[in-house]
Amino acid sequence: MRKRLSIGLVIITLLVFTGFFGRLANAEKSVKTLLIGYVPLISQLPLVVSYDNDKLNYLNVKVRLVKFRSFTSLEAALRVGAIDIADLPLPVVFNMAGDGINIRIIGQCHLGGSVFEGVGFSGLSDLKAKIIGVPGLRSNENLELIRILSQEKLRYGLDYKTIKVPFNTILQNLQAGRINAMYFPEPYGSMAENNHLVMLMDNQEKDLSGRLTTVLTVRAELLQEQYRGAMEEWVRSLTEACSFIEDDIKNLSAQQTAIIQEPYFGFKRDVISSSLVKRRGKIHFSYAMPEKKLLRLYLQQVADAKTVLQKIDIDTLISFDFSGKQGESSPQ
Amino acid sequence: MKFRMIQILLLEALFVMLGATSGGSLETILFGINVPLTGSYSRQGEDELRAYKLAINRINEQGGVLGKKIVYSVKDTRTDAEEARKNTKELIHDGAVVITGGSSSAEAIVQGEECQKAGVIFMAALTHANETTGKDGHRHTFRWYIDAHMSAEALSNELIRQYGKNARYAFLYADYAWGTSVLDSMQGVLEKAGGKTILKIPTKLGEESYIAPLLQAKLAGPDVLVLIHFGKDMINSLQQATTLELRQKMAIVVPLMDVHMAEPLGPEVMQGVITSMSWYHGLAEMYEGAKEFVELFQKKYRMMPGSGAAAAWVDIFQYADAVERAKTFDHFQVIKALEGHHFKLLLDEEYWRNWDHQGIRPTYVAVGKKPDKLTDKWDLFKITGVYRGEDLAQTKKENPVQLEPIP
Repeated sequence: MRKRLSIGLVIITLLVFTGFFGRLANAEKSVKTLLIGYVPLISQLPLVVSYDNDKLNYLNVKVRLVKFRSFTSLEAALRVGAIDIADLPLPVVFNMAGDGINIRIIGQCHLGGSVFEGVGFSGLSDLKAKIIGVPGLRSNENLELIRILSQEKLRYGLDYKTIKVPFNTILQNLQAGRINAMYFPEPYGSMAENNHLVMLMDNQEKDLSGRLTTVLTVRAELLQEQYRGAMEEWVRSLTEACSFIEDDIKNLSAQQTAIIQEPYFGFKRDVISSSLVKRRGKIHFSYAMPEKKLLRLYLQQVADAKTVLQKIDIDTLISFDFSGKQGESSPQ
Repeated sequence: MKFRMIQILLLEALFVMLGATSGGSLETILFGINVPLTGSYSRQGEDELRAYKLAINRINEQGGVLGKKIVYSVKDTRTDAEEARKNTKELIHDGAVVITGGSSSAEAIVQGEECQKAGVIFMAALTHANETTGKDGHRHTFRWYIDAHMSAEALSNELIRQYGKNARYAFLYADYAWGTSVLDSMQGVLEKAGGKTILKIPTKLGEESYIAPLLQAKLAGPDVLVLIHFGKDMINSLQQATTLELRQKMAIVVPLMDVHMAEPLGPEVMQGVITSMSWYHGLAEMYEGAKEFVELFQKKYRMMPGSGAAAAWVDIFQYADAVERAKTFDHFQVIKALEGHHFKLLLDEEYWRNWDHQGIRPTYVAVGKKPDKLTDKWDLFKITGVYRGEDLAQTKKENPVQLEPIP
């Protein structure tokens, strides 16, 4: 008994001397900095609205927003650990996980927000021999198109082509006639339409709108206990931002959100508010975890398209630590 | 394709019509908020911004102003007057019906100037220089915050009572509109009573080290050292004065205090400091309006509002109330509704003086509490004197203001 007591005392003394308790206390108290990358797109609004609304009120977290011009650069930053969090297209996330990057999906902030537009056709069957601009060949938009157009008996690469178009060159590509159509996240569809370059394709609500496109992805290290306070606070702020945007769309024609985005995104206010009010691409905002079965379907799709070759375990990739609920699934 | 085009045009037309009648773009009004979120006065700017958002949300929850919901655009002045001017022009260009903000008087003065040119009302928040409603006052500018003259008059009573009429004073002052305004007012009032100025040293806005001028003050050996600094500058100068042990040799006065300057310094540094205040959260014990504001603020932000937040709260509610009474957003009609208007919001009855647009309300003199007297970390001051606005405010003879005519 005395021996056990002595061992216990020695352990406690060692812990005290090594500063174990002090570190524990400090870990709880310390404010963590989260570096959050974003691309100026309507679907990424919750990230900037959350920051703008709550940056003065955070207790456990200090947020720094980092702007990127493309998903490619956003992905690269997360891969090398230059940022901690990003809202990325699902195929990109699967690809990173397949490459052994230690990341987790912690939720989704929105559904929808991408629209299909073009010139000189009214339906999908008219797309034969057309060139379609997409945000990336590993984007959800591209995978969705391949799936939908195959139902129309149009073969990818043979009957039509998709090409990657950087966000900032879409209008020039349309003007120069290099692409005949575009399937892009908002507000690029609205911007092209305002410039009278394209028109919305009919009946896309059924197949192309309101879908899960990007997911909130974090470095796995952020799930450690020392980050818990910071992450919980930030996710709470993000959830509130989603409600804020939805309320703003309903009550103020999204005008407050349109003002808030200006210094971060740089889009014209009327483009943003009109896109949000019209719910282009059937967009809506809420924080939740995508359903596992939906993630599995997307994973199957990227495997079929051979954009991800490695085996990925969905159960390991997702983390319910900060999301108590599963989101509604978009039609697949 | 033609049919599709017609369909879209019809839908667009329907959308515009719906927007015009039910919660569309025509049903909102824009408020411009122009405050420092970086630089020496950023803590005060943040404090104001919190209250602005709280007030706007509350008004929107209650139906908005004349049935229109408020949207707001926030600009960072960076504690720089020229940046504040640029922001003001942008806000005016964006269609703001009212602009509000401040934190440094230089910023407030240029905002007032631009708003006057554009015919937009400027509800000045935290600005203490006499000039804001004095020689640089404008028909479109209203200021609820106390001015330097009010602080000087109120403080002089306390200083003469404690240190006698012939006390010797040293001043370190921020070398811009506000600092010189406070210096002139204090010097004028104290010297008139028999006090003597033995040293006055200008310091740069945003200065980090005050060691050299503080050592000069130590050598001069005044009875009272007056630190005319604000925001982070005051935090630095008072901290350094304490480190140099000046406080064992002389009393220290900070002419204008805000709880968000005092809180980071803590009671050890703040104890015994004599100051004046435009508003203090402790007033919640006395006034129902202040209690409601403090409770809402604390619930939302887990901290106490400072005097800048109080000014922001009053500015938003007073502008909205004036529009409701005028039944229009027309700037001249709103000015008429504000001029001479009496109201109760955070204090007892107060009013907007019609010939200079200064809020006539009390000034509070306070002393930093001893650490063992604090009930919580925000309970840093004891109010030792309350002075009526009518007794302190500059008279028509003293104030050179010339407001522009109104049609």
